[in-house]
Amino acid sequence: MGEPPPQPEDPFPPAPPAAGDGWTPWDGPAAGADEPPAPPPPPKFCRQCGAAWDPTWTACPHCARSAASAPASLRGARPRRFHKHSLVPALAPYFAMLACTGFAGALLLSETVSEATAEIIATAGLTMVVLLWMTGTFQRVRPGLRQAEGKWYAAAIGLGMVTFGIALLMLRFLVATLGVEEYSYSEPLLAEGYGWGMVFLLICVQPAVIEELAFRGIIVSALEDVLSRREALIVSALMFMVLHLTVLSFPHLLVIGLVLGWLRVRSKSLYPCVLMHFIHNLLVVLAEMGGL
Amino acid sequence: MAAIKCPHCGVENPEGGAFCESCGKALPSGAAGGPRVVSGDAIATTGAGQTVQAAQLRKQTREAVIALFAVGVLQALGGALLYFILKDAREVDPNVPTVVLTMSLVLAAIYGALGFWARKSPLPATIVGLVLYLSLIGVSAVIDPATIGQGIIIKLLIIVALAKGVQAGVKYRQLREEMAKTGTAPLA
Repeated sequence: MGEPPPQPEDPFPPAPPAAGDGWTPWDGPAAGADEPPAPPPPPKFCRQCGAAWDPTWTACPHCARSAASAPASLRGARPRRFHKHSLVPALAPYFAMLACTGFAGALLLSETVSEATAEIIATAGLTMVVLLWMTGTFQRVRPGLRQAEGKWYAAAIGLGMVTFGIALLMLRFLVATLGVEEYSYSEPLLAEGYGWGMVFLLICVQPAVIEELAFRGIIVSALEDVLSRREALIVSALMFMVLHLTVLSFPHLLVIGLVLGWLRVRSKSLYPCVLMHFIHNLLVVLAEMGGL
Repeated sequence: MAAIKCPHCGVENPEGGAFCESCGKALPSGAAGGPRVVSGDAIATTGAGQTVQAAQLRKQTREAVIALFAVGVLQALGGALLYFILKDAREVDPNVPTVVLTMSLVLAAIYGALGFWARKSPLPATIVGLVLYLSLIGVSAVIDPATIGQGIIIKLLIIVALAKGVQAGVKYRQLREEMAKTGTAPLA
């Protein structure tokens, strides 16, 4: 009992009747033509690439292969959107910090509080703002919260001394040429009876920790969404400079900010930056203590 | 729908194909002699398209640079004006006019430097320009709230100009990203 071998499918079935035979396009099928039109035969060659077409195909695999290797844009993949509002995560913390300083300054100028109290209010406000902001951006700042190699801490101490020297020279130059009084950071606090311990906390410790977390932590990581790493470091150093709001200090503040940014990148950690900033501010206070 | 007759075998092919479905030979391309319309991602693949992109980039950087230089000039002029006013004022410490002038010139120099930076990288430069200006406005508003109203129109115009500069910087960055995707660089 043998069955006849299966007939191979006719690869080239006869063409369907050409349009015009049996029905007119304008009126629809003429009466009597009640068979559905035959499906178009498979092509013999792909009309996009000319490859010989196997009748079992429903799509040309050669075209699909070259489409797969084409760059994403030609495939029509959705391009990465650049959101304008991604500047907000970088600028919002800055303006929040500026608002703290402004608020304290307004209180001082309206003579509601003394200079020392205004300084304490500003410091407390800045600390709260930055710590609060950290709760939302912790994952982004976290990579910087790791131990660096010992050599970077040594470098931080050395760099802190160098930037102190630079700042001293620049300020002395400006005081000599313009005749402005040099501003003392510790005097307002001491004048109101706060001890050197308070001075140490408010001027050496807090700015080092909080400003590094803010500028080299939160703001740089937010800016890197929008700018290249180098641009992000420069912009963050410039913002650090502007936040201090003393135009005559801008030159040395910019230098410090750029060095801190460099240190952050090379040491891959925020801790050397905190140390360097601390050393710099400590030397400022010691110089004021020693009557320099 | 216009069908294309294959010049080799005579079979009619539906429109849109490049090769004849019956004999596999190349079909003549459709709109011979007409303009080739190129759009979207394919713009960067043509010389004319790249020139257009380069022009778009230049337009954005120009907007950013002009905004920053304009603010710098205004800052210098304002400082010079204040200098002469304060010099002749009576109850003012003689140092003050010089200090004010110096600060204004330092700020003008900063905006000028930002303007030069904007020629290569408009976005970071305009961000800093806007932050700087808003910070200083904020400070002077706190120091003397009465001065907020002085020159408020100019101040608002400056803020708008700097904000538009940031927008131009953003647009520049977007154009660059699109061009990076198609792997092309603009001509000149």
